[in-house]
Amino acid sequence: MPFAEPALVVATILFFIGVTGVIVRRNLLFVLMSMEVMLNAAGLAFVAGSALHGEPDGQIFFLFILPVAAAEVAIGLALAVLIYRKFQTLDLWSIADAAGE
Amino acid sequence: MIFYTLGAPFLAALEVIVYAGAIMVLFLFVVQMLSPAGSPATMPDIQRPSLIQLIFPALLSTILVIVVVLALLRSGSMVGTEATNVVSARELGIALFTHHYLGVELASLILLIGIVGGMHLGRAAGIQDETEVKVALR
Repeated sequence: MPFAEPALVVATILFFIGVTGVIVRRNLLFVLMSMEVMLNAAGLAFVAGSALHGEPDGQIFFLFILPVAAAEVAIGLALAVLIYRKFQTLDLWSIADAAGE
Repeated sequence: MIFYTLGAPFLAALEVIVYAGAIMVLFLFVVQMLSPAGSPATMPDIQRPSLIQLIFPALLSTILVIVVVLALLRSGSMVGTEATNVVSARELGIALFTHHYLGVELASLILLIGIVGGMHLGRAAGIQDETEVKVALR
């Protein structure tokens, strides 16, 4: 399998780009997008592993990751809308200042 | 494309449909709904993150990437010269619905949780409990 090892390296790099994004970003929507990047990277690692071993099990697990990611995005965005209604901003630092007194 | 070269054409199509077609569209809807009404001249000046606050997570992530990639490339049990084993949709479906049917049921349960949670969180603002609903309906 000529593409499995580089795909694992790409998955690792993508995952840690997502981790950096979650830590550094101020806007709530960008934090959620970085979490999606992390989920995608983990899924890519699963599919690369299944290509490495020749089994379809890794691809099946990616099929299970997809509804989890979709449900998480739906509920996360609903919560983001509620936060916007309450604080009138999506800036995490301002919200932490306003709510952490 | 990466999924296609790894022998997963069905998952490649599914990823485009679900991620680019559903999740990103949800993000676009929320961004459109929550965009601030005002020109950049009237919005308050936000405080930019300082260099230290940007460098430390980037440095940490770089170190972690190097550690994991070295661990991956040094493990000698990876076979690298076999032909690509393309898993067709039919094969994937057979494996999914015979060996992993419990996972299919759990995935549908997670979607149900997502639907119910989203509907509850997205209910009309201001309706707190039954008494307020009755007052509103009178």
